[in-house]
Amino acid sequence: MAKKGSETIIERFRSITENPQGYAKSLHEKGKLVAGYMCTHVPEEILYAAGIVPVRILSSHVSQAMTRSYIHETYCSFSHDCAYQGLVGNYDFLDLITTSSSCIHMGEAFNVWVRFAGFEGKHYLISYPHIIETKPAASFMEQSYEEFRKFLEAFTKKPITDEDIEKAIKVYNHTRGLLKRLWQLLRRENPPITGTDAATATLASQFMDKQEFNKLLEKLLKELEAAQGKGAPGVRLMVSGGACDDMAALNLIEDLDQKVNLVFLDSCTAARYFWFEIPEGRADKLAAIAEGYISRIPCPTKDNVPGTGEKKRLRFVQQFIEEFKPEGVVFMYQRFCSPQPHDFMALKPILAKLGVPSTDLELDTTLPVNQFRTQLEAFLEILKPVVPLE
Amino acid sequence: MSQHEYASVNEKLDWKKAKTIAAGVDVGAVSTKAVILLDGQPYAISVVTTRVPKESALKAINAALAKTDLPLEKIRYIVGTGRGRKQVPFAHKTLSEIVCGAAGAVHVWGPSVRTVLDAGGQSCRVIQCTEKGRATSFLWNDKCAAGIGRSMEAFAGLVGKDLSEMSDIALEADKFPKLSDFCSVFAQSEALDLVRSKVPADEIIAGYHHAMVRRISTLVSRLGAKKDFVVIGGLAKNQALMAPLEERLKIGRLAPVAEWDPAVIVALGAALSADALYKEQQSDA
Repeated sequence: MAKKGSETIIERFRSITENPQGYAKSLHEKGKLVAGYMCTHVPEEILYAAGIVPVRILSSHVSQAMTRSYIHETYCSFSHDCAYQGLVGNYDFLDLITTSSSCIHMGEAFNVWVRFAGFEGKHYLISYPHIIETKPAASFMEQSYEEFRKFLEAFTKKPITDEDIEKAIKVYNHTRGLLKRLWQLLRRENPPITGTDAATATLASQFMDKQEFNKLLEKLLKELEAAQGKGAPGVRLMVSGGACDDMAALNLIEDLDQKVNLVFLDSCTAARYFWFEIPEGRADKLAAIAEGYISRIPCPTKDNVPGTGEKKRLRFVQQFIEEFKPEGVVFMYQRFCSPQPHDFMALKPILAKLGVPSTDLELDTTLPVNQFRTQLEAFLEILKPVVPLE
Repeated sequence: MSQHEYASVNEKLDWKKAKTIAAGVDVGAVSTKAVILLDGQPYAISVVTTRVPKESALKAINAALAKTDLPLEKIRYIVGTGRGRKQVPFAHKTLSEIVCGAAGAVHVWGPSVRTVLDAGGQSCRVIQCTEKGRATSFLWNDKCAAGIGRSMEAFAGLVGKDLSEMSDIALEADKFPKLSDFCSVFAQSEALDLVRSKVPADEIIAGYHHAMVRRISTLVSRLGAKKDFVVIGGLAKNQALMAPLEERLKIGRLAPVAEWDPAVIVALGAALSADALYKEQQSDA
């Protein structure tokens, strides 16, 4: 597929996604302040403006029972896994842990870190409106961001200027723009990169110092944009779901009997993380950040237009299907996550209207590989029959 | 051979006269099945217990070939299917048990079949299909063991009965206790309490059959049981399951076809697919 240089960069991204705490620790050892964040509603730009590198806390995919003493069993496996990372001390070196009040399950994971994993004196919970499609939401967010800014100023003992925030917005917008360009390559009939590798790069961006990441991704794009895909194009599949940070699941999709091109990943670990922009050059920087975050593809926990019950995310998914032309959609959701499957029920009629079939995979801490493989291969055999039955 | 193992040959057919010899091997969790077709006609069938999947696949095809002088290398195309499909060393292609189940069921019961329930040892699958036997959608128990053959086997062990006699014992009961249909482990714990409370074994066994029926019918209802409805897989032979299942689903299944063991329908579908793929290969050449 891609040439040697691009493979080296992808390998670098892969090694970071396989050991994010190792990468974060190396930043800390270089004297940088490092903050863990547990949800993409955290405005990383404000942390970055304060001179802090935000590193996302995701699953380790280790089968364990430890967190059952701390979190209700019927909370999602992702929240259990994130809590586990704190309890076993994988991120002891972090200077700060933050999250936003977005999802109850992840809120509990955050509480575990604060109460039982040594982060009692170094944490911050960002208030976030429950429903973002209302007029008061923006001013609520601005106020909440202002409080966060003041907290960080006290924490770092230095002011965060508007120039600092504008600079951070520009760095982050650049990352988002580069990631969009990367995923646009998957629109090609025969892409020069696999969906799993694009997802790996996107995941790495959530752990890395953005300036370092941007340099690597620019280099990678330069090579990929001129490259051709190899072999015959595969069946085009899109994944839609929650936190899809288990690369083994995506690898499985692209390693079936029939060739598959994973062409889009609608999840908070991929498109929902970067498919938006924050207006630059505004006088009120925090209002600009609020506007940008409200314009994102919404998380199902926040996606409900009062009065109509409309879900904004569905329009985005429809748009992605029209642009990336998947022949099938794989819904992936965390076990015990209620909002995601509710969205799928609303999405299925839209998919049926567009003539795109779907199948569901329920994710847990580890993958039932054989079961998923059979389900996916059967799904493909239905999409693209290989047997000429008379 | 163990109790459920067998092999049969249609001696009216002569493989030396056949233009196409194709086979399907279904490596299931409990048993491995092989079906050999001569020009689309069933020639040899075998069922063996699954041990090591690779060895079981070989044992099944050898068992089917045993009463013939047809050598394995004369089989032009072989499709492997089932849970252990990747471990059929002599297969030319692998296909999922879902597409093979639909193809086999429509071949046996005819083009009116629209819903196939495959009640097997490790999985319970509902498949919707076209009149040509092409699967169009499906649902299955992707994790839990409730409602599958393996849980019935474990239950038989718990009450000290042989799996083959469970259905007849259940049919003798006039009443039955309600056991958990949510989880086979919970159901077995509840049954153990009943055994200790001296509840007659036939009632407990009937109770477990009805729990499985509730579980299976929920799966079928989620996808929707369209007529005609057929049941394949080892559990299709269990009358104590089938009668209440039809009643609960309010849909009758097509009667079993005497010549076909419902446990080998997926292997048949694989053999039919092998036959079609070989012919396509020949026409392309």
